[in-house]
Amino acid sequence: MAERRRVVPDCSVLVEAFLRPSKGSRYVRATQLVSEIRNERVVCFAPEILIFEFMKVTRDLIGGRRPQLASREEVDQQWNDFLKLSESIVYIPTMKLAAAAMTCCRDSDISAQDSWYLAAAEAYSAELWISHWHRDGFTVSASKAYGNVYTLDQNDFYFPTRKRKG
Amino acid sequence: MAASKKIEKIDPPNWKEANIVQVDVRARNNIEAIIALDAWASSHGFARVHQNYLRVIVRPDGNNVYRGACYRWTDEERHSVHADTEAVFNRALRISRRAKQAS
Repeated sequence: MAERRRVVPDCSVLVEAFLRPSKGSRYVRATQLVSEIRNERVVCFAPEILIFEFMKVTRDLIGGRRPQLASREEVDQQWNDFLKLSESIVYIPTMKLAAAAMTCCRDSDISAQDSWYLAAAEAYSAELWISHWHRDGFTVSASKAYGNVYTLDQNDFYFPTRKRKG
Repeated sequence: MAASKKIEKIDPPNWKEANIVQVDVRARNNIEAIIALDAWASSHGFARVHQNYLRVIVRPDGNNVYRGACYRWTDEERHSVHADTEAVFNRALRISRRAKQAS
């Protein structure tokens, strides 16, 4: 009986699929990852901060600090669908991850927010998926600290260890 | 411990005929139990009913097991999820297109 593939998506991956699709493979891979979660083909873990971060981006779309970019109705629908997806996600209680997140933050030079995702992936030997290489160096630092880190830009979702040419 | 060895009991015993089953898992913690339950479900044509915390059951022998439910993963379920996710992705594309036009 084979255990299923385990993934931890960073908030940027879900934002790509639900709110701000970009052109090309990044969006396609984000939708593949979400479909795999909904279709019960992977076990998805996440820190609870994912809900907070996703809510923050959602609010920005309806005019938090920026101009309103989407209708309230559409954004409400996406938010509800994110919550529906969340039923398939195993959220790891914050207190269970706190010590590990602090270690990631302190030893690997990773921001306080991002450290929760790395800690979650490490705790359950899951693949950490990020949409793209972050300017703050999260992807590089996480790769150095953990290794099992992939980006939608660079890695095929179904064959994550196969790097894109060029 | 292999995932199959963690499964203690499947209810009903004739679960191959059932659409909903309860599965008892021996595990050190809730997450380990969820991983084992997921593995059992996906190997036997079921999906796990989503609960972040499985119920802890004290067996007559004094040992604890985690109990979760699974439902049969049918073509109908698969089709419904597909239709639902397509709607989400299409809405995201519409939002993105409009945001680009506005900017």
